[in-house]
Amino acid sequence: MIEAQALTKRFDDTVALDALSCQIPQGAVYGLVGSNGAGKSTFLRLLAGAYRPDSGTLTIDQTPIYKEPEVRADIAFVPDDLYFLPQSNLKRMRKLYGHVFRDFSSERFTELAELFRLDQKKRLGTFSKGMRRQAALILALARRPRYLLMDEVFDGLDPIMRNYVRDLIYRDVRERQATAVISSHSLRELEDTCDQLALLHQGHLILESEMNDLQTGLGKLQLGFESDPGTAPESQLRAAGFELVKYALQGKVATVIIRAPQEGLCDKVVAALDLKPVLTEELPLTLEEVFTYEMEALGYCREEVLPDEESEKLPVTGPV
Amino acid sequence: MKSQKSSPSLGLYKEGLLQLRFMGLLSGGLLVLASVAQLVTTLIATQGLNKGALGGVYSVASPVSLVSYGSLVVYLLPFLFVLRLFNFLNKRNRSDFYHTLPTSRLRFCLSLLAAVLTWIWGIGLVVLALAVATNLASGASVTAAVVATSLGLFFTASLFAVAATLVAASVTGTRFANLIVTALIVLLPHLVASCFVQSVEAVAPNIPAGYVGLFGAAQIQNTFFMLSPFSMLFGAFSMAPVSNSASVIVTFVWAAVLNAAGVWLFVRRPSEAAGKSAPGRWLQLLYRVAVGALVVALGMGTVLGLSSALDSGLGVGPVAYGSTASLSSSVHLGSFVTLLVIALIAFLVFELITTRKWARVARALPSFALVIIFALAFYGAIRLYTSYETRFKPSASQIASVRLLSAQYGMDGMGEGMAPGLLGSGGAADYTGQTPTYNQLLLRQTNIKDPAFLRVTADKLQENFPAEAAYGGTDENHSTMMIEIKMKSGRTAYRLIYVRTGSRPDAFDKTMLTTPEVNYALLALPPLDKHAELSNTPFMAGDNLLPVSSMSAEQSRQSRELYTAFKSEYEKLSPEEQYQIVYGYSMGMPPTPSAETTTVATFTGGSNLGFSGVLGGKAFTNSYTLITPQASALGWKMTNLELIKLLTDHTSGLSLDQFDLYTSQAARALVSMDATDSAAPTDPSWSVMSGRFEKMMYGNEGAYGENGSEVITDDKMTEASKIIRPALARDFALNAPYYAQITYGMYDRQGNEGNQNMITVPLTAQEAAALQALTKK
Repeated sequence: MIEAQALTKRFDDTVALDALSCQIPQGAVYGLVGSNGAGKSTFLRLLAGAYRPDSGTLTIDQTPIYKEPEVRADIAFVPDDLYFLPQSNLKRMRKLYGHVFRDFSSERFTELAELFRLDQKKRLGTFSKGMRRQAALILALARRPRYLLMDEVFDGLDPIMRNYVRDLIYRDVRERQATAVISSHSLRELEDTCDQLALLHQGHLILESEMNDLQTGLGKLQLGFESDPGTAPESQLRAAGFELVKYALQGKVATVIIRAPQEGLCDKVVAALDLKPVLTEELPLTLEEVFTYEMEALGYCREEVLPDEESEKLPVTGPV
Repeated sequence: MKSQKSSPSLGLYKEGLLQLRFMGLLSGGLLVLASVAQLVTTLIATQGLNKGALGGVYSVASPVSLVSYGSLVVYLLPFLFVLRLFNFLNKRNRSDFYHTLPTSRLRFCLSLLAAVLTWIWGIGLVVLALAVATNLASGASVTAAVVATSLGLFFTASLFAVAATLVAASVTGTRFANLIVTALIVLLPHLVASCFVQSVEAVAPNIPAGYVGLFGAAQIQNTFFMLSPFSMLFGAFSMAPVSNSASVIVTFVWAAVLNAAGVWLFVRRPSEAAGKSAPGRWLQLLYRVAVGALVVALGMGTVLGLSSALDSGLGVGPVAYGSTASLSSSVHLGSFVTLLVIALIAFLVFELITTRKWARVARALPSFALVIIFALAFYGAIRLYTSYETRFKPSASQIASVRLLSAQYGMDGMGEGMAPGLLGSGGAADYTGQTPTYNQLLLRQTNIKDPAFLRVTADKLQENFPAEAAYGGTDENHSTMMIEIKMKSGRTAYRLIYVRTGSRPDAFDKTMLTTPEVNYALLALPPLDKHAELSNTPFMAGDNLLPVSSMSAEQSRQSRELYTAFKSEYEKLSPEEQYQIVYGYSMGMPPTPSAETTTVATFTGGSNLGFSGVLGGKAFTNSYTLITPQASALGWKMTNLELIKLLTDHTSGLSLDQFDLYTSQAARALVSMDATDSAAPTDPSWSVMSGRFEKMMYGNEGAYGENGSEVITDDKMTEASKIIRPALARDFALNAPYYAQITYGMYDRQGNEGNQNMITVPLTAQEAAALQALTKK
């Protein structure tokens, strides 16, 4: 199990991670989401043992990752900014991995290279972005790591390759009880891939939850009326003290997202409305909705991030 | 577990070797090719010469020159290889990759370091082996000690360069910063020390170069700079006699400390330092202050030198021993401020290039105060030190001993009052690459304790020293000498003194030449110990042609026998005669035997004997003219035996060129040995030469009749050689009726003459008649 306790990392004046604590159980596929500069890549580099924590602890099975290099034999890290030897091809990289990683399996490497149909003799510099990422994944997976860390793993991969990579990760997790920690800005991909999720913002862990049951402070309801209710439900709910983060009306159906626990929310909403809905349904929040509204609550919204005039130029979009 | 963390990893080591493969094969290949080319050229150059006649040792390879292309290995490869292999520290993604390896940082660093050293030392050893082969092919002596020293110089110098680059790579994160900090680590200590010395010399010229205070240990140099082609630029120290072994030890320790620091810094270095010129603000501060300090140190000597020169009337007038009183006034404020402005520009440019941010440049400005503090401290240190040294004016009773290290300044115009044994002794000989003589080395090692000499030394130290004397501005009646003064208190000081020589020598010069220790050192012959290598150079041609060589064991034995005979006769001679034998040639007065004693040398001029050896770890060479009776006779005989051998061997390339036959009277008159016969004719009574020799000497037009020589055929020349062969086998007869002066040469396969030599052989009347009969019509 990976365990972070009050983990802090600074770069000059910037605090990249601020007293972050979390636990990643063995066999999990753990997703990391967060705003730009939230500390996701820093957390992954700390996990990989590239960085030394300024304070706090980061352990794998209670062994500190940075201090005990042997622990890193179980960790494979595929960074966002990939590294290959200059002028090298996959064959040369296999040699490098064979020299520096004790557990590197040439058989597994060959098997994966054939599966991905990558030319081992072709210079990696001539590969496309997606092919380079495939090459990096092959090298990482050929190590048969117990911990697979991937930063922006799906970046540059086409949908078929994404599915393929996802399957490979699942296979490692299932067959060898491996743990995968994945960061991505593609929330859809994470939603489909991960079974646990952590939301980071400005070096803090905002949310950590099972993907199946996102334990957020938000509730989403769909309310069906006999006729177009107009804005009356919105004003009534606000008047009743609900913190509405979204109210959208399409014909006779209104979708509301309220900052409140999901449990018992439906009854409380119905009670607060003068015009009773004929249909009420609790809906699960998408990851994108969670991300958007949780971040908005933290002040990370378009209006906050961009100057006013820039913000006004952009089309109004958002999850409904 | 612990040892596994620190011992190099085989996999990483192999990876390191692999990553350097292209660079190693390319650079190593070029250097090895250049070395092989040098060897082949040497072999071709020596191919045409007769090996047996080449003689043995005529030069001793010096350790520094032996490193040859190895110095390129030291000057190029460490920087290239370390920066190539540790280049990952400059890029974030590469740095992260290597920092996540499941290996301790220590193990990782040591593995890469081992790979770098394997390449460098591998290439270096091959290049060094080829340099040894080249030296051997050219006939130079390469002793085990010289090879060991060369290896020591090479290993320590390359280790130092690797260490300096490793430290720089560990504390910087960009290519530019890598290079600048490497240069600072390599050069800064050496340059600051050199600049300190230069500045002190500018103020106190009587303190010899390389003997300034703490830097008096200049005899111990960093071996990196000993191999430097730029040593003349940096090396005031180079003038000092450098101890190779001490330099090797000191450089090794320094390199080991730097390597340890480099590894420690690597282990502590954060991966995120990649891409930044310095991992932290303090280091960045240190770098820019070092850059500024370097400019200050470099310029201080010029500022002080200019001021000093202006004070002394542009170096014309004499300056009192370190007139520091005028120092403060003489340092022109303007030049000092200019120096600081230049330092500030360098300081800011460095900051701008490394950080690429104007804001950082502005923020760096206050820290220039540290450079100003350094400048003041540097200036203060120079002033304090010169003031301390110039107070050194001991009395004779305080001096324990004195050594005469060299007379390297203004020696061209030395008059007869100065012993030629002092010429070029000490540092100058080392500096110019000339091998010193035994007597020069012996004199340098002699601690003179003679009370009279100590008195004149103390008096001399009270005198003024002309600034220009330090730079060779002496006239024919003056010389500048470097001396070492050991005090009873334990202090050792080095000084340049100005000595009047010539027809009106001063007290110091007179006393020096009558001091027994000095006389002994100047006239002693070297012992025939295990380092001794004897060689013979012909007395006329100046090159190795014939005679006694030390190529074979037998010849070596003969040479030793010859030297022993010479030494035993030499030791019975008066000091004046010894003096003439040892220094006759260097004084421009070829030694002549006394008129009372007729020896073989009376007729032949004596043959030469070269002596190479080692004294106190330093190589020396001497050349003696064997004019003593037994030695000259023995030398003549050995030469003749060699000559007979070569005449018999038709493939030797030896050919007789000219015969001049003299009557006894004419021969004696020729060497002016019989005063009563001074009016006697000195022309040969019969003279012939070969057609080839005539053509070579006089061209196609010929010279028949003009020089009195008749050209004879090769067959006749062969007959002539047969006639004189029995005479060559006999002992030298001092009262023979005739003497033949025979000129002979060594020819290569193309018929080009390599060397020429001449020998005088006594003949019987019958042999002379037989020779003359050869040209009877």
